[in-house]
Amino acid sequence: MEQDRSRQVALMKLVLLVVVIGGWELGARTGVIPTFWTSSPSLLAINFWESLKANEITYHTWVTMQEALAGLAAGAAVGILLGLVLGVSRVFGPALEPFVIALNSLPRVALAPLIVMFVGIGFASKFLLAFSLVVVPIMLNTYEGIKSVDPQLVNMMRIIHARRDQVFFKVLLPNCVPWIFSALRVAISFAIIGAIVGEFISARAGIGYMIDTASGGFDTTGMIMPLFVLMILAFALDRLFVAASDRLLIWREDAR
Amino acid sequence: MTAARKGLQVIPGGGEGRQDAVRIRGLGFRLLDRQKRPLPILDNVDLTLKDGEFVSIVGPSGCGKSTLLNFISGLVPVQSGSVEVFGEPPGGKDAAIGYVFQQHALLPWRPVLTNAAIGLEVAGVPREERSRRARDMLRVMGLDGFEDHYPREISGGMRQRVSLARTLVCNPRLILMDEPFGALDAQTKLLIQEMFLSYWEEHRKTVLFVTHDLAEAILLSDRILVMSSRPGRIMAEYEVGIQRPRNLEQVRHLPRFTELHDSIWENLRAEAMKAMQGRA
Ligand SMILES: Nc1ncnc2c1ncn2[C@@H]1O[C@H](COP(=O)(O)OP(=O)(O)OP(=O)(O)O)[C@@H](O)[C@H]1O
Ligand SMILES: [Mg+2]
Repeated sequence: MEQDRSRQVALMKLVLLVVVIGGWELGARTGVIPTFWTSSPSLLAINFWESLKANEITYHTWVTMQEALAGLAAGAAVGILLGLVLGVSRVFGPALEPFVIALNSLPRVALAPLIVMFVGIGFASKFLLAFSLVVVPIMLNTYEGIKSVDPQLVNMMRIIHARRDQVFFKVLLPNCVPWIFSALRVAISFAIIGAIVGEFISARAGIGYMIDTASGGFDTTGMIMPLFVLMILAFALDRLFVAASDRLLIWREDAR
Repeated sequence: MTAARKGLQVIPGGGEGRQDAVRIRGLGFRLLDRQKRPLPILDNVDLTLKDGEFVSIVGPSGCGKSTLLNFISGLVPVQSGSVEVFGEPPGGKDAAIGYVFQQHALLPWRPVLTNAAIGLEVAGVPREERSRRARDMLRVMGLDGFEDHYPREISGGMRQRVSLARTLVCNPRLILMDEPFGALDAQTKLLIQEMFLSYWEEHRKTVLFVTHDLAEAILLSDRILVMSSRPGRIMAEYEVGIQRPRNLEQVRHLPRFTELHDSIWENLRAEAMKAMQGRA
C-alpha cells in the first residue's frame, strides 16, 4: 500500500516535469508562446551550454554562492548566539524582544541602497544583505526554542541538583535544535535573495549581475537561464539540509 | 555520623530514635486570583514522615497535593509555616530527594539508557559506572533490551518505568511521587505496582505518594492521609496495618482492605463533591 503510493507520487512528479517542459517547448515551437517574452527550454539549454563552455555561469554562480553562504554562516552563528543569550537571560530577552520584532518587520531588502552606500559595491554589501536577512529569523527561532522548553524538564533537573550550565547544555540547547534547523532551512533561500538583491543594486559579478546585464539587452533567455541554475542549486541545498536534519532529529515525534 | 545516630537509638526515651524524614508545621500557601484577591491553596498543613515510611496522600482534585510536593522538594519556596527534610530546609544542595512526576519528564532527545542515567551524570559519576548502574536498574524495571530506544518509541507504561528507574538509580532517601501510575491502563498499572512494591519492600525508602486511586494507596502504604478540598489541609489519617511483604491479589480480599476503602471513601466523597461543585 505505502509502497504503491510512493511509486505513484514518483510517477506523478515525472509526468508533471515532462508535461510542463514539453508543453512549454511545444508552445514555443508552434508559436503559441512567444519566445521573445518567455524563451523556451531548448533555447535555455543552448544558452546554458555556451555559458558553461565560456566558464561564465560557473564563475557568476560561484560568486553569488560565496556571498550567500558566507552571509548564511555568519547570520546563523550570530543569530543562534543572540537567541541563546536572549533566551537564557530573564531581563535581556523580554526587554529586547519588541525591538527585534520591529526590526524584523522592516523590509530588509529596502536597506540595500544604504548598505551599498556604507560598504561599497564589492563582496561586503552582498554579504551584509544576506546576513541581515538571515540573522533575525534564526535568532527569533532560537529564542523561541528556549522559551518553549517543558518546565517540568527544568524542574526535573533542579531536583537532581543540576547546575545552571548543566541545565543549559543538557536541556535548553538540545530543545532549540529543531527550532534552529527549521529556521536554517528557510534562511538558505533568504541568504540567496540577499545576495541577488545586492547584486541588482550594483555589482560586477554574480547571478544578479548576469540577469541585470541580460535585461539591458532584452535577452529573456539570458535572464531566465541563471534563474534556473540558481533554483536547482537552492533546491539541492535544501534536499541536502533536510536529509542531514532528518538524521540528526530522529528522536522527534514527527521526524520530518 | 552513623555512630552518632546509633548512639541516639540506644538512649532510652531520647526522643525519636531516627530522625524524621519530613516535618511540616503550619504550612500555608495562597495565590492571587484573577481579581487579585488572595486565594488560599493550602491551609495550616501539618505532616510528619518517619524515615523508611510509605505514606500516601489522597484528596480531591485541585486540593493542593502537587503544591505540597513542590514545597517538600524545594521547587517552590515556602511562604508561611515550616518545612524540614531530614532536618534541613528543603531544596538544599545535597538533599537526596527523588521526584517522580505525573508526566514522565524524560528528555526526548536521549535514549532510554542516558535518560535513566541523567541523575548520575549530573552528579559527576564516571560514564562506565553510571551506565552500568542505569542498566541494572532498567533490568529491575523489566526494560532490558530497550536501552537504545528513544522515549517516543516506547509505550507510556515503559516511559513511566524509565522515569522510575531514573529516580531510583540515584538512591534517594526520600521519594516524592505525584500520581506516578495515574496515566496507565489498568493491567500495566497492576504490574508496575507489583514491581514497585517488591522493590520498596526490599529497600524501604521514605515515600510520599500522591494518588487518586484508593486501592493503590491501601496496597502500597503504611499510612494514608486524606486532604480536604481547597484550601487543602490534612483531614484524616489511617494506619493501614496490613502485614508485609504484601501480595496485591491477597490484600484485595482482606476484610481490612474493604473496611479501609469504605471508610476513606466516605470521608473523601463529601470533599470530592465540594471540589466538583467548586469547578462547575
Ligand atoms: N500558578 C497557579 N496559578 C493559579 N492557580 C494555581 C496555580 N498553581 C496551582 N493553582 C491552584 O492551586 C490549587 C492546587 O493545585 P495542585 O496542582 O496542587 O492540585 P492537586 O491537588 O495536585 O490537583 P490534582 O489532583 O488535580 O493534580 C488548584 O486549585 C489550582 O487551581
Ligand atoms: Mg496534582
